[in-house]
Amino acid sequence: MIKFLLKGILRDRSRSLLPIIIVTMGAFLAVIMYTFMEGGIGGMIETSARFNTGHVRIMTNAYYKIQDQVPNDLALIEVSPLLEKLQTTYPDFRWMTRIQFGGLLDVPDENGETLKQGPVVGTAIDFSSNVGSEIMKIKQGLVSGALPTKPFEILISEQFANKLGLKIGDSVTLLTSTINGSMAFANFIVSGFLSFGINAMDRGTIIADIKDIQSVLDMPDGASDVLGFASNMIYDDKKMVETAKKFNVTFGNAEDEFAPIMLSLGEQDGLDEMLGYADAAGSIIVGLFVFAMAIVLWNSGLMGNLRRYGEIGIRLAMGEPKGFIYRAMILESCMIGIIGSIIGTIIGLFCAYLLEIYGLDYGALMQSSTMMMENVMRAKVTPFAFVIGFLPGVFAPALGAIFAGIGIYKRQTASLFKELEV
Amino acid sequence: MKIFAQIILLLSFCFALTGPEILQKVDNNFQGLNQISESTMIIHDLRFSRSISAKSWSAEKGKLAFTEYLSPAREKGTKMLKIEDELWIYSPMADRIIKIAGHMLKQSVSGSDLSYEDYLEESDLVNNYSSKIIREELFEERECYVLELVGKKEGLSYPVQKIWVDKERFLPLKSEQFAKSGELLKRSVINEVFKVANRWYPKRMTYKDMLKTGKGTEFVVDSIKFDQSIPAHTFTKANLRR
Amino acid sequence: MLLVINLAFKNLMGGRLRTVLNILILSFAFVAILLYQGLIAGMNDQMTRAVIEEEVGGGQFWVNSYDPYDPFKLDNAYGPLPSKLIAMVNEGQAEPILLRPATIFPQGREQGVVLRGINPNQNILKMPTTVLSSEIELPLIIGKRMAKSTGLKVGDTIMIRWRDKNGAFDAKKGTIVAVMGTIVQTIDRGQIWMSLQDLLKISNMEKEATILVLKYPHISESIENWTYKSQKNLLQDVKSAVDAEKSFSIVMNIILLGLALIAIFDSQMFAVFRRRKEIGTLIALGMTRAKVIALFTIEGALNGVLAICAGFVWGLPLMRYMMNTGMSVYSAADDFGMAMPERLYASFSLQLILESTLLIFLMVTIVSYLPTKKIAKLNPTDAIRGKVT
Repeated sequence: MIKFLLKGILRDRSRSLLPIIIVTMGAFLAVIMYTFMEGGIGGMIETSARFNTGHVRIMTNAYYKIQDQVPNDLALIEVSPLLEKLQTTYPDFRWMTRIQFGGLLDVPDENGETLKQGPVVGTAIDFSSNVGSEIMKIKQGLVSGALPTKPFEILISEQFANKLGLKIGDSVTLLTSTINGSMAFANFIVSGFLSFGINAMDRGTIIADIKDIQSVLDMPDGASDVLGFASNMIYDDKKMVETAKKFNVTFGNAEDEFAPIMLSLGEQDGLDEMLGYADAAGSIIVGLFVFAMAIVLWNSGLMGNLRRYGEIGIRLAMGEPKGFIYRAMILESCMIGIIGSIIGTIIGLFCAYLLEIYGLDYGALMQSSTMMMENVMRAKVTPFAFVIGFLPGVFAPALGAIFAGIGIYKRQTASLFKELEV
Repeated sequence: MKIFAQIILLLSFCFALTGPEILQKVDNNFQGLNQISESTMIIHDLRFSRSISAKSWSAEKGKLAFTEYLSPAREKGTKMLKIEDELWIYSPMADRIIKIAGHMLKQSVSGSDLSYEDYLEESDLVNNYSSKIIREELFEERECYVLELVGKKEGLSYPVQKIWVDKERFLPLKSEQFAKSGELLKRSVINEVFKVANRWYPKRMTYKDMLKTGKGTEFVVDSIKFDQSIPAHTFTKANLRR
Repeated sequence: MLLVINLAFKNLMGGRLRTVLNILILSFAFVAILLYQGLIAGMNDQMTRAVIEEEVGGGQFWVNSYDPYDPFKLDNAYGPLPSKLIAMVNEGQAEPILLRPATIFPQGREQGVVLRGINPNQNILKMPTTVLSSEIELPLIIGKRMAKSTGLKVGDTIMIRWRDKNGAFDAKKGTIVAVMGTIVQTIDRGQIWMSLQDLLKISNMEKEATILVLKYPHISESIENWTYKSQKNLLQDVKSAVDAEKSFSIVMNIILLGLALIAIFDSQMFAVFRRRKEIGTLIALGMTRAKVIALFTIEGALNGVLAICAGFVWGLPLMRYMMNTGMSVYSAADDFGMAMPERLYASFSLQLILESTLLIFLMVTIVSYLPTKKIAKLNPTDAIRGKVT
């Protein structure tokens, strides 16, 4: 029967095309809505994770207590053995060591005297391993120049570089404090300009290689913190909390202020509220939408079958059993639903994928903001996006057919037949 | 006999030292025409202790000073030049001379309890402070005059100071720097002294920022010579790069 | 035309379940769009109001040496007010604020802060400044984020060290008399508030200030070495945050509208098919095609009208709830420097409601019209017989 119905759907486009189009649009919207919500809310989590908290974050107990002050004198030391242990114990994680620092960036004139100076915030990551630059999406943010490949090369936010009148290849001096509180100076060559899409960072940020900063800040094999990310870059709160718990039991020591402590994203600074909110709000909005879409498609299914009463009348008159016709209608509706959902999901996923890669840029509106918000709105394709279109796309029209088919049992064959009126 | 004792007492009052006189003797101990010294600064951090050794030249009662760090390897070659109230640092790592001004002066010198502002502070107590003896006291088994110093002019970092001056050696065995409100800000204690060129000089002293936790910073004078021949170009920016 | 409208209405009412469903879906979309826009408007209102009431006032004058993004220049960021501005202060139209860098020592660690001196009796900024008139020696106010990062609470004392105008060190223990719950981060993180008189005194200053906050928005030029910053200019960050949300909401609106319009479109398609005999009869009886198209279009549009009415019926209590009770939002946006309130209250202006209503009505009308175009090509004789052409 399936083959027969499929032939009917494909050949008689006058009766199948509109329902398929409707279901396609419905499935498409459901997919877009879901991926957009995931992208919007997930975008906040992702920004927080990539630039601040990681999915998990390791620092010393003492550092954690006053982390707002970025107290590098309380930073992790002997990070390499710790990193090895992490890579062995948690091979499905990506680990990123990081040093956060601040200071002044001094631009010299031809005599070596200060020409211009500006306050700067810096992050140092390991460029040799690519993990850090991938996680921070540095390549995507590179406006001109190249990533640091030689020692003492840095990337500067383009806005800041323009303010200081810098070009690629210029030399600048970083004035900062070592972890012991001594003043430290180091020359760097500007290798590239970055646009973070996050205005607070675009104002005055540099990215340097961690080995260079370790030497400048006198913290050999040290790091402010170590960020861990799930290899698929999707945050799973339950898993991360469990990971953090296990780590702290194995490697932590609450009595030792310099012992490492691991915290999941949710455990850091009230972000568990954010996750709860994001989950709840997202689920409610998507749920309501899918429900509404289901009603629309149910209605459409209902109407699509109502208009076929004439045809049904003929088939009944020809001797087809009512039950058979009823089941055929429902099956046909399911097949239309499946076809429409497949097409709608494909188109929806394609658009969502484009949104995920390119996003909607409203950066032009944010000129002098200090907020850490990405200027591009993105969608996020997750495994559930592949099925969400089918929820209203298949079940709702089928339900419509079920209700419409009741007419077959309730009405006389003759009156159904009369619908045709040929 | 009684009269004789009274005369001696009266005479002793006439010849008793005043606050300014004591301060002058203290200044004389610390200053010569110039001085060249080698010293070690021991900084106690939260986690570690570090030693930085340096050689210093100073002249004109500290108005001019040049310091070069000798060790450890990381600090070696770093130089500081002080001319009156201006300060420059040369960093061999950056091969640049940076003027330390404004906000940067608040930074601590190599992570010690001493800030660059403290480093710039004039050590000429007599001209900057009026003083009076408030009592006499035993400190570390040494008889001391306790002097209260009040700033004579605006612009002094520490408007009020208290110093315990060894009666015999005229060294400030303990000194306390106060804020205008009277809050104790810094304290330095001389732990060990030695005699050099007919004067007593601190061998080892501890300097502590009283508002911060920690053990403070120790200064050890390894050697010191007074009234040497120091070429004028020592105190120039050009010398920072040599 | 009245006949057409009357007829359209009767036909719509005859639709029963289908009509009810269409109206339900449309009204859901309408209320959802309205609610979302209302929340955005509410967020904008709350953030704008908070920033205006607690920081920006009606605009500000900044002494030329002041740069809020360069903390290293704060040492010299002060100056005497020109006579014109002093007059405004005397009239109660402006309040001076002095900013001075200082250091505190929570748990024995040095931390740089900014001291902000303000008149305790001021009534321009919505802050609990009256507590600064306390009998306690140096009463201080901090924000909740500052309290969290330093571990301070009301009643605690904290040693503050600073340099006066001439460079002399001074230090005093201040007492926290209030922790303010502000959403405006710039007056919270790293900031300590005290009485202006106290700050002037301890800084050894007389009448200097760094910022002058105006009571009302004032179109003005800069005066002497004081630069005027308009309220609009100072609200740029808030505007950007709201614009970001607006971009998000445009996509949401398109999706929600899409949902509703699918329903209408499909319904109209069905109606044209189902009632072809009726269409043929009407045309045969002399009704012009244009009128028939108008009939069906108005029928579809009436869905919109009824949906809007229904939306108001069940949506109004919900809207009222969102205005009065609001909904809690995550505060981690806090960490990104946004002045995000912890609870969002929706705000529904007449303009917002009219715009949303018009949008729904227009879109529904257009989508209702599209399927009816085929009526123009309909052959009435075939239509009467039930043939589909």
